[in-house]
Amino acid sequence: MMAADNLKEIWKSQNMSKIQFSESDIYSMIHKKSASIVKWIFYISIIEFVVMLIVPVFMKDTSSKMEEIHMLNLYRISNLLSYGIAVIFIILFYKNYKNICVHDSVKKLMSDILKTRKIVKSYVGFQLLLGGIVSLILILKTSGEITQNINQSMLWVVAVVGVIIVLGLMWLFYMLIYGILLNKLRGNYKELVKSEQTA
Amino acid sequence: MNQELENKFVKELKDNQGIIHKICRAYTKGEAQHKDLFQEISIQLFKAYPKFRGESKFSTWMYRVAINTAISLYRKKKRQIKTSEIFDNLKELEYKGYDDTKDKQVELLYQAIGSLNDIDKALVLMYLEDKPYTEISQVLGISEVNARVKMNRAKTKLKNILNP
Repeated sequence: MMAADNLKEIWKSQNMSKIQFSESDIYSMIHKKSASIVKWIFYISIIEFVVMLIVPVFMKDTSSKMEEIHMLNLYRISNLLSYGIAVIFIILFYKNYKNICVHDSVKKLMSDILKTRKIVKSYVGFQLLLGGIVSLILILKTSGEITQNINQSMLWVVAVVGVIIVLGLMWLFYMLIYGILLNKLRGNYKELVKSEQTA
Repeated sequence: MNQELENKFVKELKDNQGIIHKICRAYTKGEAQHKDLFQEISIQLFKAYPKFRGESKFSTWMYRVAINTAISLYRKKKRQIKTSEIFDNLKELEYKGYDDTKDKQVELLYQAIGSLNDIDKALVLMYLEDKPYTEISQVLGISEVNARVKMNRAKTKLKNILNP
């Protein structure tokens, strides 16, 4: 059995680590690329912003379809809104990302990382919602004209369920990526916040 | 960063690497992970070095960045040490009646620390390093009172692991 009362004594008695680095080892180390969570979040966020911004480019025929069903104005407004909000989110994201400082306290650092993540999450949520609404309107208008035999309320149900399934799958995929990346961090943050509340 | 500052940083890091090795040993399992975390801490320190104003000692500042990196920034393939493994080692220690118990005890202490959660690990490491509560609370970003409460709980957990 190990005496637990003299832990400090045992700790101080330890020899130098078997692993030791020379100055040249350290030189080469510090010029390597960081693989930190923050770096990953930054890269993934940039991909998200880019993907959300270029999706409309691949939907070229949408505007002509919208014109056919007299919804061009709504489409243009939603596009403007989408790009305008994107700019605001990108600025917010960048400001928060820059605020992340490795010599802040553990709690502040974790809170800043999670806040940065939340901004991108809200952005993607907003874009998905807007995309969902526009798709829904588009599906309803175009399908309604083609399939006149189908019951209108049935069409609504199919369209809504379809959009929910697509959004749900995207959300799951999203949660998976960030679950892997942020679970530990979130857990540690909760641990600190919880202890602050109970003390 | 200019060359002169870089040289100064490398020298300071080399001279103070002992404390980073302790943190790496507590937060990782195996040499590969240890080196990996050491590298990430070095990169983070290097990036933040131009902002180091020298208001605190280099070692104090370094400690804070290292703890932050280990808890919040570093990602590893996780392999938690099971408490049962520590028990097995404890039994082995008693059974063989080691003479060189010092090294073995240090190893066991690291294993026990390794089975704590990340926040408790930081608390115990700072306790063992004799850091004052003002510094512990600043590093973690919690109140001093709370740091004491959490420290007592962490120490109890550690003692329970070591003396089941």
